[in-house]
Amino acid sequence: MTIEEKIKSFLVDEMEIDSAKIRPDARLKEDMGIDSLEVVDTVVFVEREFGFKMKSEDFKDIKTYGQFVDYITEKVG
Amino acid sequence: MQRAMLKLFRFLPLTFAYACMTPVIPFFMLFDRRGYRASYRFFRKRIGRGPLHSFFSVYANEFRLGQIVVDRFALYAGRSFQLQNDGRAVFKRLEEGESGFVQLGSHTGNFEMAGYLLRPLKRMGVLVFSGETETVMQQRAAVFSRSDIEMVPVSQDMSHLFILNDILRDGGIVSMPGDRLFGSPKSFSCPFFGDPAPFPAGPYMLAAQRSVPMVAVFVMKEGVRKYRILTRQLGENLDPEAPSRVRGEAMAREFAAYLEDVVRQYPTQWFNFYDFWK
Repeated sequence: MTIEEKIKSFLVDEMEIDSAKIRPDARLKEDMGIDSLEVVDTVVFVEREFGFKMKSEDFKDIKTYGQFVDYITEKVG
Repeated sequence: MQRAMLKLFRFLPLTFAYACMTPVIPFFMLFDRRGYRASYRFFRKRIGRGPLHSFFSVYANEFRLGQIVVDRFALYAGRSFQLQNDGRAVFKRLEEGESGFVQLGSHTGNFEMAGYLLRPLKRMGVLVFSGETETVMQQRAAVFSRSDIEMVPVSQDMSHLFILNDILRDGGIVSMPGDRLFGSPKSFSCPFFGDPAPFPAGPYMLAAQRSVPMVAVFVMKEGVRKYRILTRQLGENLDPEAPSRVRGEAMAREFAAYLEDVVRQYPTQWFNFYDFWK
């Protein structure tokens, strides 16, 4: 599974987000409905799956799904 | 004013402080109509008491709340309380484990006593709501500093959840209420006293995502200076491979069922003075 596939699988299976809404330009909050509580769920997922810790500040620059995937890819790579 | 009260509570007999409240309670019943109606409906519809009995139960309910507040001040002033801990074995087993865990309370009984009376050995983060006076916050911090307890205020940007997440990751204890929505409107609908009621998704999802144990703790007033701690671990029989949302919701339902059992035993210690089911 690629990094993006893992992220997408988490968003669809765990967060129950409609897969049609998951596009690179989709905004996490407005388009995908991810609220602050789910941001913490996402942090736990990232820590478990990719082995590094995200801070609340990291999310200030991540607005879209594409930016989130790029951020993870850069950190893991 | 509060500093003076704290000084006073070092010496004032608790029974005297309680007695002073008796003539004040009717005014609360008269002027806090929303609270009165919620409490009256709770005793009528949920507990099944008659109209007159419900009226006097509201009085007893308000009086109990007053006692809890007085006890809290007495605690901050350095007074001690007797403790009957029915869940010591559960708590000890979880404390001795490497993993962190979530301790859930409720707006019933005197949950704040839990941190003080249990005196946890691990680091504990207690979620507190901002808006209380500096004096209260300082006294609370002083009492909690005797153990490794840190207060984590709820913040608009939800950064408190990140702090609590860090405490759990480092094997500590996170203590928060499991019965009231805060920050996020997401909830699980759980059967409670015969009807579905919303319970906050946050605490349950945090435990489920981190796959850490969750324990319900209720501290109920039994006498002038006596409290009883009731404890139950939640989600012990859940499939660890199930999606976190499924496990989170199952734990919320278990908590709601246990809370109902406890509130049926101590109905006048139910302090959610609003329509809990809306």
